[in-house]
Amino acid sequence: MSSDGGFPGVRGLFKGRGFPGTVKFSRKGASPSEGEEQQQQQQPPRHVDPRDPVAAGIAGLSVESRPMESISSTSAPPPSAASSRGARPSSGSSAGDASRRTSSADEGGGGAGGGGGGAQQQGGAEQQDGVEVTQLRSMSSTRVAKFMRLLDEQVVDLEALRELSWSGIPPSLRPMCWRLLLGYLPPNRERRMQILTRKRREYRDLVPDYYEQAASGLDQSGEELGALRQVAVDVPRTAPGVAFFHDPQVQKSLERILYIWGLRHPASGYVQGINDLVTPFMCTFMGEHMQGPLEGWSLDGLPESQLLDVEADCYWCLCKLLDGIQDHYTYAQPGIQRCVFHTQELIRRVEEPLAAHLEAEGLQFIQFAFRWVNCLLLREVPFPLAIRLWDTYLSEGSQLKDFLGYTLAAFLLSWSSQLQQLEFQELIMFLQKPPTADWCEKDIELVLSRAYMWRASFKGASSHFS
Amino acid sequence: MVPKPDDDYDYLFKVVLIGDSGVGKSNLLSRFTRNEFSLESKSTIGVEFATRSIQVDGKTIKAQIWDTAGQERYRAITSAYYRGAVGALLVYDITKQTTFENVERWLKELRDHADANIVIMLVGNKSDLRHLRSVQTEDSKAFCEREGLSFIETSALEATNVEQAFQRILTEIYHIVSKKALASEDGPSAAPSSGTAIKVTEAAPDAKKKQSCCSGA
Repeated sequence: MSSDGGFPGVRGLFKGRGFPGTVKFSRKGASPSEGEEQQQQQQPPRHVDPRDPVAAGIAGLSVESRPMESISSTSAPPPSAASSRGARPSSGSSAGDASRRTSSADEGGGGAGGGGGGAQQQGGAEQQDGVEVTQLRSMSSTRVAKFMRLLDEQVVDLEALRELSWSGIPPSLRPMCWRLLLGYLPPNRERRMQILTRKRREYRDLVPDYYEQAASGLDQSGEELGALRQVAVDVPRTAPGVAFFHDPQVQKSLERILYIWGLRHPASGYVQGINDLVTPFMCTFMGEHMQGPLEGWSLDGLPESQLLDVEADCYWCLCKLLDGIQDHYTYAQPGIQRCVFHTQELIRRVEEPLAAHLEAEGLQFIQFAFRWVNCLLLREVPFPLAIRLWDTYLSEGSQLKDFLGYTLAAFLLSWSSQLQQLEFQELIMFLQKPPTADWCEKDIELVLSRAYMWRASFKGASSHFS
Repeated sequence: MVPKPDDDYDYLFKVVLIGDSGVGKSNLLSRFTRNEFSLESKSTIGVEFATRSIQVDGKTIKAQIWDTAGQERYRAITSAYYRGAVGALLVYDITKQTTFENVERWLKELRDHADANIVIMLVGNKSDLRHLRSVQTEDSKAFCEREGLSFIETSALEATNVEQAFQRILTEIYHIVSKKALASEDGPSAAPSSGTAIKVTEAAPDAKKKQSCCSGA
């Protein structure tokens, strides 16, 4: 039972029972009924818009028809925009409206998910706007305008888009930019809708071929059964702090994406942690259909076809992302080992005293940095920042593999002097749970820009690291 | 530097937690080291570390516990942590037959990568889910007798037998270690031939400082 979070029957046992020590529910709303109430409060009744704003946006249609004000209103919404946020228009709306709704939902996604971090709680609209304003430092209207200009081109200049996106993408444009950066959609806008339709259909055809057979228990090998079992064990443990990921439909989607990906990539198969890597895609693409903060998202009323479209987009984008780092997940995970070694070499060069201290304490980089690479730091930072990290990762494209080592080194150096005071055991405890709970965007951007600088200065010396 | 109380121990034992994905290894560890249980914890990637000290026969035993990822793909990484381990808790889920069937494969992993004298305890976790039990206690007991392992059933959720599991394996290791130390005091002829001796006892039992028997420290 997915609602049990992978612990069948356990939830029922909790009623009226006491357990020793601390029993943690990572989700908000400790008891199921309490959680439901909360959701109902946060979630205004959903009216399904018969038009699909997402598809329009992808075709590049709404981009040009979007009035500029509606976009810039996302950073400092006028009272009218803020008050209209709660209710969803019930009938066909202008593209401008659509984009505004999309963007507010996205920012919700960006500002929410602090379940682990807890830094940014969003209860009412007021708070939410506050988060938007602080979060969108880099989203000045000129910046948004630059994105709009690029995306408006008949053929998007991908290099320019990479450069611009590297420093963060406005939430409302993120889904579109990610699809382009990953090469899931072509730069030529005329072909976009056609390709999107084709890819989504292609994915739908994969589901019966791969997943449904296995799930029905027919016709599968022991290996396939094992893979399905592994995915089924991990799906309920995906982003446990984010209630949305506990929706049975979302879990089914995740299960299909991961299982099918594994089966179609037999060199590695599904590896634990890849489930984490889907979550930024899921939130970003689902955000096109949701409104309000992530905590309040509900799939009620979302047509199945739209859910399947989101699922398809997540699947193909995951494929694109993992294509570049597949040796992170093949036998003995050589890609990860190389990346960890690269990180270690960098620390040796830029912060010798720290490298010496870690060595003297007998700490090996693989002991703490393995997970950092395996989940691309996703587990080490609050969820909204992971989405920001993704902006840069996806902008790096084929360079991501190389850039990761620099990113990890810069991340580690966030605590260089602190670390030099710790001994082996303290070090490992510290580094397996680095204190980033109250990090905000500028902290992660500092890490990224340091990484950028080092790469620039070490370029040409990379042969030392191989 | 003034040693912190935590640094004060007589023995340092490295123990690994192994077994299939989702059997509750991480929760056994958090229950033992922090008295915490998390209903929705994330999967373990690679290896995670925690520590706790207990008393055995008036001695302070510090356990350095490495919790490993259950998926097969990670074995190349996790098996490196078997080196220097003096104990292994091999965990299965009493409600999932396959996790018990895989115990043999885990034993082979240990035989291939760990010290030959490593003390192994089989742990049937999730004993609170009585109505879902699919592995009978008698079967596990019989298996352990055949293989010469100790056995216990635990519930990390209810904190049943968790303390006991760690206490028992650490005590067992301690007895082997102290017996060997005693034997080596008797003279060189007595020590190396002993079948139960384990390699990790170079440290004198009473030295009140760090005596690492682990490659990690």
